[in-house]
Amino acid sequence: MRMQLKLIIILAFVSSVLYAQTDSENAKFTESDNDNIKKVEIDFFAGYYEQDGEHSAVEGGIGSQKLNALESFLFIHVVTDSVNSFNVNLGIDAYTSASSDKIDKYTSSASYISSASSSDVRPNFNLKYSRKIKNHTISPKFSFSHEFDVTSVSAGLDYSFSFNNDNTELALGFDYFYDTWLLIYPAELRHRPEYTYQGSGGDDDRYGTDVRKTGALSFSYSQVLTKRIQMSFLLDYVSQNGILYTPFHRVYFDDGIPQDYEELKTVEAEFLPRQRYKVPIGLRLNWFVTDFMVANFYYRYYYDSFELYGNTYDASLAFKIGSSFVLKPFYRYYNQSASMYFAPYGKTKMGSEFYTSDYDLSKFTSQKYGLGIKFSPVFGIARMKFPSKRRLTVLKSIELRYANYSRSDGLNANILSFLLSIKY
Amino acid sequence: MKKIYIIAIFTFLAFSSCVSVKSYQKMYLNDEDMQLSEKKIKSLEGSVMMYREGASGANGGKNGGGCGCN
Repeated sequence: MRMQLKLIIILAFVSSVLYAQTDSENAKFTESDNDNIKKVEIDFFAGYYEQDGEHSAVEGGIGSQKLNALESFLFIHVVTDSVNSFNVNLGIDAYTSASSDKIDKYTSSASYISSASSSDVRPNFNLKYSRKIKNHTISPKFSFSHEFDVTSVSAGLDYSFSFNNDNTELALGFDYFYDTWLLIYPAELRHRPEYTYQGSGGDDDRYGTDVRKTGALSFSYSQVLTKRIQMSFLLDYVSQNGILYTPFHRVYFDDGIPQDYEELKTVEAEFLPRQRYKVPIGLRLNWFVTDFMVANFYYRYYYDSFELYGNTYDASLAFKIGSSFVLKPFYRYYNQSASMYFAPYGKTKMGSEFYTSDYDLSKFTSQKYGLGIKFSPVFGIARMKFPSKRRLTVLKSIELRYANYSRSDGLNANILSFLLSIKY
Repeated sequence: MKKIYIIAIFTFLAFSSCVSVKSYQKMYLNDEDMQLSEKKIKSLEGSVMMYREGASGANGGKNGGGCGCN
């Protein structure tokens, strides 16, 4: 019965696509249409993030989650001609974390010793090349990032096909991530054979490593519905293998020993299955409601093999004030069920095969709301002939955005974002 | 899984009633705030959601690889 229903839906999908097509005005575009279009768009992004809460995973589900982070990105989009373009993203994040500082909290009886993980800097780099052939676009891509405990390399390929006078677009993407994790276990566990570092001696700077491999397939179907409405359907399938837990997260077991005698409690490092798949499905709808207001809606349903379900509801408005300003209030609501492996501090049953006390995998609801403002005059904020007298560099727009994020388990965060756009 | 089917059916019905808009009629659709891709100004918020929530993906961003996230 379920197979029949699936088949009906697939057939309905195909027939609706065919019905929506017309023959009118297909884009006439060939490889020979090369009119030397060259432009460079640069976006500079800077953001500040701060959070606090009382369920640090490093301390087994209790303790401060205080964290401050700065993130900056440079997005560079280069169009060399009418068929070739490049996207280069360079980013750097810096953070300090009160909870990461507690990885070695029992190193001495009198005090906590700050570890290298209490602060970190993460550089990252993304490169994507796109080639357009008639209505088809192919884009190979590559990325790299490095945190103190995770180094990631990825490669992927995107393909898109537009038709029906560019009113319809189908896109497929594939990404493969190869992440190497340092096995930094809590200090009080490192003497155990199962947590012993690779290498020799008592040098705590040596850590073992493990690998996480992620394959992500993405599909999207975008459709213009009317002159003022367009929407897209997004579907991903993600398969992960390898280390799927964070080595320095603690889990305290329900052994009858009270929290006051925590050093005597049964404790292990977080441990989760080495395979996981994820299926998020999203719907996006954008509507130019009136001549001065745009509405954006987004919904996502999520399910994974850790038995975690989530629903995301996102709505934002863009009020165009005059020809230069845009005011953007927004609201997002999210709810998720707990992963089947989650248990709060001291509630993990003895003998459990997999366990976590990371509240990011617990049951909670969250809300995010805020306001953005964008200044983008028609002819740009400033213009100058730079770097040559024959080309114009335009400071296109400046945008500022504030968001407050809060979870039902007490985590609260503030996010301030800034974006500056330049066109050459 | 029932939700998946409901979403798919709704999507197909919506798509089957669309019209073909010509290039010179797309002044509203080409507006920056009408683009279907994720906005760059939301980069940091997107990263935060990946770390602080179990769900990820279906928004043009990362899906759990390439970071020390869930």
